[in-house]
Amino acid sequence: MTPRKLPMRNILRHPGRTASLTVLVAFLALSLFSGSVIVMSLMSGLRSLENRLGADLIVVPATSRGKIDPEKIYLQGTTGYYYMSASKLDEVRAMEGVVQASGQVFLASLRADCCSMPIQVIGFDPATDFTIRPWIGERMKTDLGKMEVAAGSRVNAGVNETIRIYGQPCLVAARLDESGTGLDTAVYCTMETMAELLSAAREMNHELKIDGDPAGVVSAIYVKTHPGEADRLAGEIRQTRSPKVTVIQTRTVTSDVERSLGGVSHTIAVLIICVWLLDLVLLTAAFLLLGGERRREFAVLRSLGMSRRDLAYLALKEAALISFFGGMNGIFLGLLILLPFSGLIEQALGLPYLRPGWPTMLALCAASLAAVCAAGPGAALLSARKLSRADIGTIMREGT
Amino acid sequence: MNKKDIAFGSAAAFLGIVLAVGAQTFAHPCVHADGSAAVCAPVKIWLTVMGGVITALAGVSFLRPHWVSPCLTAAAAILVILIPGCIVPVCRADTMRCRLVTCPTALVSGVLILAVSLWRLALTLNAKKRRAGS
Repeated sequence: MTPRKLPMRNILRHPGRTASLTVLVAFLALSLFSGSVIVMSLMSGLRSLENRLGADLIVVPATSRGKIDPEKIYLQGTTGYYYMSASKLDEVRAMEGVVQASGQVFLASLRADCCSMPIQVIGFDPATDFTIRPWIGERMKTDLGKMEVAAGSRVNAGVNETIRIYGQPCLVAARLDESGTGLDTAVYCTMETMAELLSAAREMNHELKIDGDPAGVVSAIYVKTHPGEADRLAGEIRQTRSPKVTVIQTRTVTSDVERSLGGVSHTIAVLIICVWLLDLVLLTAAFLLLGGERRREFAVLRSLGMSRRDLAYLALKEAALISFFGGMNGIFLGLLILLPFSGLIEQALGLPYLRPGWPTMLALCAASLAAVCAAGPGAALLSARKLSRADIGTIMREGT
Repeated sequence: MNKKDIAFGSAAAFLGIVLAVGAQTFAHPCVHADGSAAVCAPVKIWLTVMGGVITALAGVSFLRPHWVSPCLTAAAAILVILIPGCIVPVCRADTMRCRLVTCPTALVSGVLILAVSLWRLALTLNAKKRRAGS
């Protein structure tokens, strides 16, 4: 047996010792990797929310707050519907400082059977829309036709599948990219299709509280303003009457999310630091204790002709191998928890959560493994130094 | 029976118990507010039974260590992974409890049980080969 093979032999011959050290290192890797993935997912979710909202202001009827908080539709995918006259849209468009304004109509589908949950249906005007069209455009080059819908990534319907909303068959023409927000649980259609669906809902005695033509209503008006005009316009729109409206400033929504995200990220960062400090102290103590127990083993190796440098190399290589195995286990465990439970994590946090793509995930795996592979030998450094500098004669005499 | 057999047998038994208890408690499938059975309801029974089978197999392997036991445990673990979604249908919406909690719990338990049983199988076969060699 060559000295090069000795570290691996030592590891395999002491399964108990190896297992305990591996578990400690696995915790280091698990905490670092999963913490980083969660923080990155939250940051991607926030960016995605900013892109998806797209507008500076969202105008909804004042009655909407009593029914359902509109922000919940964007963040948590809660279904809801409320309407106001489409004349409000023309009123907003005519205001000074408005660059673009487009209306959307919301409808919550009924629960069809035991497992088909109500889904949010959002109707938009392809001629004026600037929030949903770019999103659909990533997946579909042509416009949506009549009775065609684009499904959010979390709606369980494939392309060319037909879903029934209030008994009306709707063809899924596209599936949208994941946004990590509540908008993933909605389906999108044109105003023409929405008018049909509203009529069908009325025929099924679904109480919509729409007076007159369903084509003459909107649920929300998305407004893009000139830079710096959002606050003034929000105030101006709020002052208008008939109907009374609520103005949501998307900057407020995103800064609220950003604040919550900051809190969550801070907590995760503190937890990671605590776990690392605790684990590093434990690892250093474990390596030092082991070093004390292995003094005679090292003295024998030294008397057999191994240099001090070889002994330090042996101790450090053992630590590096254990760190590598532990790191791999920790990262595997992290993936095993984070990938299947991402939906639950998103629901528990109540914040936009968009898992990074595979290249980023692989980079995070590599970075976590590298950090752990550096931390393990780092913790063993003191022990390796003590062992390689010990006097053989003294150690051998201690045992006699 | 050596220490490795005890360690791997205990790990498989523990995971089996977690699966069986989990299916009945924290990882139960969807329940409607009106008490009616959801389409995913049979997953609860299937996972409880499989958890019991895995625990029983681990118990048998304590009494008589043999390569057949980890093989059967591995097969049971694959079944556990396949139950929600492939063998028993689950709810369609991604936001349903069965998809958020039950399926991931079955997947994680199944993968861990599979890893433990395959490792144990490798050790058992290795020991058998070594005995045959000597």
